[in-house]
Amino acid sequence: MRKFDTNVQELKYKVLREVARLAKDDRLAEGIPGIPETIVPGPVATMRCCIYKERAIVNERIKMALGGHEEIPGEVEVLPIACDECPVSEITVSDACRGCIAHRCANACPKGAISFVNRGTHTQAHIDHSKCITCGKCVAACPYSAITKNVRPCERACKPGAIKMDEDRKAHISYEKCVSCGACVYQCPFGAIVDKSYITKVVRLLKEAKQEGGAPVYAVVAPSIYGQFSDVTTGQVVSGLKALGFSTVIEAALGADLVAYFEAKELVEKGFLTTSCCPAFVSYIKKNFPKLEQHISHNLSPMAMMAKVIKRAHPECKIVFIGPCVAKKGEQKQERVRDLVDVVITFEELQALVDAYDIDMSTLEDDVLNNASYYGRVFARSGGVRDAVEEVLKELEIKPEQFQLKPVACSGLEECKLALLKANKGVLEENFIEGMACEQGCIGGPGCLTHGPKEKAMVDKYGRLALEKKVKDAVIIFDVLGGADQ
Amino acid sequence: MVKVSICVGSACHMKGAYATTQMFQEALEKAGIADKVDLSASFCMGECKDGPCVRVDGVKFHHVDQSRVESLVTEEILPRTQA
Repeated sequence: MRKFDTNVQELKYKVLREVARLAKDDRLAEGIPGIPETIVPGPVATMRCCIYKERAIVNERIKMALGGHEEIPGEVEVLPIACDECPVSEITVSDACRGCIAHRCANACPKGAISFVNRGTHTQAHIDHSKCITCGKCVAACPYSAITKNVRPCERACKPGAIKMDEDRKAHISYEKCVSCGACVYQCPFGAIVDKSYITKVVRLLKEAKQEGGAPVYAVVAPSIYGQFSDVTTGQVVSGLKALGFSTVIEAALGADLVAYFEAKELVEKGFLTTSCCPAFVSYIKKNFPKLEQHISHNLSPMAMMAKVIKRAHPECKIVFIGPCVAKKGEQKQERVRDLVDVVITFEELQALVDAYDIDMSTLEDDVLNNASYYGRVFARSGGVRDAVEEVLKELEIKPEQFQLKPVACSGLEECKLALLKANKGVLEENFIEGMACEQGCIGGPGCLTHGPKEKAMVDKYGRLALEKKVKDAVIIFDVLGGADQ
Repeated sequence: MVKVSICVGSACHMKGAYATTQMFQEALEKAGIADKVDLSASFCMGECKDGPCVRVDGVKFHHVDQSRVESLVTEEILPRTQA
């Protein structure tokens, strides 16, 4: 059974699958007009006012599946026609208001916006929205929880504060603030915010690989893959990737081992550092705390590090990164990454790709995927980089008088913001900020098929399945064979 | 320089490619030809069932576990360094 958390994910998946299928069959141009009807057969509308609007929205999703709008500088876009114009963020009084005598709400209101109206048997609080500044003090004050603050799910999800309502009541993204974390993509209940997809580029690379003299395509997969595909094993996913036409599959977690190794050394040298593996976190620092940019680790991310090592050994190959992350799609476009990684897709898109090629992974044999250490693999969850760097310091026998690690692991941008605010003022006690934009780390990424409390335990379990137990054991090979450096 | 590339992809790694690599380093030094050999990594030679795989100047060798490293060095690599 295929498993998504929400119907929105499934809808997006269907569009990606159809687009990938047409691309595989070289029928994109003639086949695209038929996709909306395939996905919304009618005659009864199930999601919107009518099937024609549903189909029009599918058309917009197709544009995103084909890479979206190049002129838009981020990796996520609002589909205005799909935005349901949720009510404005405002404070409302519900029928739970009993018209009590205390009037804590009115007393708490700094603007005098609350009055009381007669409802027959009792009075009820009433908010004058022309005065209300939505501070939420009345919400906190009411002992009956009768006053609520409604915030649009997209705005609530957007921790950098990049989403606001435009004059047509549609969600609008300010790209000066957006860090492409993709939280809004997963949180919008109408699927009106979507990440750009490069799935057709992958199809093209796989096609070219099959031609004589074509470049082999390597898949680099993020460690959060473990447990993502509910009905198949990770070994079967590896087989599935090879059935798609990938020459081989390599763990990004080995890149993470290398990153931990270099990052620990860099930390000892500099004394204070923030991690650089999460591109949304890096972007958040650059956009909000430019003074701290100098403290961002100079390391490549595990994805880019792994790709660099592979391209040194196989300069002719193409590399597709498959992970839970939307921001990685933007990272791939950076100058120092674009020659290393060729395309980035998510687990969601991988599921679409596998189904477009009619591959039933549950019938395939288990293949192996084992290069990294426990520590490289647990990068996928909050606290993972901290644990790995701590381990490397131990393995390198760094003594406390040389350097003492004081780490803070920030799960989600709100926690990142707190640590960065302190660091910016010079009052942060810790000397190593692990920043992950998604809550729980990469396992909470918007491109994951499922998000749940069990994911952390899954990643830890996956870590324990690693052949190599120490970071040193996983990376020592490159001391002999070369190919890895910062 | 003789080019020796050792596959460290998952399948070969599981079959002991790291031990093979370390063995290679030792055997090359013992034979006194470490400076004449360029050791590097490969991430897949496409023959996962027969790993660990090693390529010497383009020629592939299969099942190169620790026990086969020394003979490979003396029989295949040493003569090439003298050629």
